[in-house]
Amino acid sequence: MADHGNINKDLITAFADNPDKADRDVFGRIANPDRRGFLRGAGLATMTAMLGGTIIPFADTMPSGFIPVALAEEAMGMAGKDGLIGLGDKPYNAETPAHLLDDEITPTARHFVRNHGTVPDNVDVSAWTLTIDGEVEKPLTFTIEDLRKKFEVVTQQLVIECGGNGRAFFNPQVSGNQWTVGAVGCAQWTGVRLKDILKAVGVKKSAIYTAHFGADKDLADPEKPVLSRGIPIEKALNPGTLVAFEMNGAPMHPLNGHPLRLVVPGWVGSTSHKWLTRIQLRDVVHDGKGMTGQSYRMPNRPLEPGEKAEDAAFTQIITAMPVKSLITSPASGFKLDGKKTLEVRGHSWAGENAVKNVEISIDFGAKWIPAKVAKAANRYAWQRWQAEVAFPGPGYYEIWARATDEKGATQPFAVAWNPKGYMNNAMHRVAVRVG
Amino acid sequence: MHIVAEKMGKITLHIFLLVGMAGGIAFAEPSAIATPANDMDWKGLPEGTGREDVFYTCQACHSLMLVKQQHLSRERWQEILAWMVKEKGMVEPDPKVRDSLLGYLSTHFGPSSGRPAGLGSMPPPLSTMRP
Repeated sequence: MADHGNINKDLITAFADNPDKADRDVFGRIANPDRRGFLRGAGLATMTAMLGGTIIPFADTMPSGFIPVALAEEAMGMAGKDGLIGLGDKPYNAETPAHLLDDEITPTARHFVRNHGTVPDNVDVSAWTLTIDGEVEKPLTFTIEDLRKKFEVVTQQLVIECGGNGRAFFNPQVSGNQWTVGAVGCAQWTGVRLKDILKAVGVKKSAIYTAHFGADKDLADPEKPVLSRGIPIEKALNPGTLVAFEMNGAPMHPLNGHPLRLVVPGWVGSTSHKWLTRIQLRDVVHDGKGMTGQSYRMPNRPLEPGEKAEDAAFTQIITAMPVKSLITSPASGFKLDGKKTLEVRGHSWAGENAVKNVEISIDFGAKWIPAKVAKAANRYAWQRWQAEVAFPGPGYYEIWARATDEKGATQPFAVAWNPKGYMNNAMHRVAVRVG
Repeated sequence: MHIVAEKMGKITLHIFLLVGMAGGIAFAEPSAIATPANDMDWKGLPEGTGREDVFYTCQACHSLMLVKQQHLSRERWQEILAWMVKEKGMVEPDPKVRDSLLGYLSTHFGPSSGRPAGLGSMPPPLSTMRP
């Protein structure tokens, strides 16, 4: 496997140095005189095979010297991520095992990846722009350097959680990426407040919602946005909402949005738009891709498990995520030998609210042991908690963690089934064998 | 690293074959997409009628990894296909292919009383008692 990285780097170098020669050598193709398409069918078969047998749309208009993005991504691959569990390699989706989320600040290599489309390549940071337009007094376009110079740069630890975190546990199973507990992270984000940018453009009274646009490409149709969601103007003006250009003090990982993204902390992850290029203020609730139908919406009534509901019933657009916690130590499956006490620890978060307490149970909820909960490093950071549990004797135990927020909402045993598998904040449970 | 590499292995092989040849390049007859030669090349799809349709149709836009995570009834698979055609730019399959897809998917990725793959060492589903 060690060779593979070099080979794909050679592929990219070959194309960069002499695209025509690389085309001939690697794909055996000679472009049509207009430099597009394949003269020989054999070239297409080869490229198709290299892409794992995928049908290549637009093959007859593919410019010569072009490496399919999928191959470029593979050369890049998931480099820079460590220990994540892959849910998909096209688009890239991967979650973090709970025990690898133990750090207070989630390292970049351990932050989950949730992509809907292809990752932009050939990013030129100095040329990247962000346009703010729509219901504003004065539409403006900024480079990243402009943002750094014109607005106060802040650094905050902020929780991002996927709306589908926990989807795997629904019964009957629902469709979609089967996230378990690891589609959440709390990295340190550096950027400027969206609020400050909006003040500079002047928000019209008519503006009620944002519409987000980025540079990633739809897999089926690269001309259409992959995803375009938005947030109510109040959350856009919340000082916690950042336009970020650094992750943990360094350029962001390409899969996490390099070079610019929104971080809408405490809210469903799909609002934190990556590879951000434009925010439009609208006088209606945004209706872009991922805002309509059943996408990121909850039904207006509880459903029986497996029940079908019409699109019109999905009236509740998901905004803030509910109270939740994660056990990051011990890892599930841990064997405790020769001792009967164990330190249990993890994190807790609660959307717009602070976490008030976290409790641990080792007997299915018969008794609850209070954990020590730390204050958040800043608003919208997660809160670490820690407890010492004593097992009565050898055997197989489940450790449960239950967080309660300052409004009194606590984590349930199970959540109402919904067809898209959103908002599963049921308690995290890990298995421990005491021997 | 769990993001693997069946595809990567195949690409490595092809690059060795092609770049390693000096001068002229030899190719197999220009043909349709190369048929996988062994189980590994089917990306982990179990053998069964309709596997080929699923292999080629589903990878047009996304990885087969997504398909393999699902455990849905035929009816739910039908709904998913319709949704992808409507919302995700999927080309409407012709009725015969659609039938083949639904047959394979509901047989091999149908509802199961078991747990989704990837839950690893997590505890079993919550309930030590039956209703």
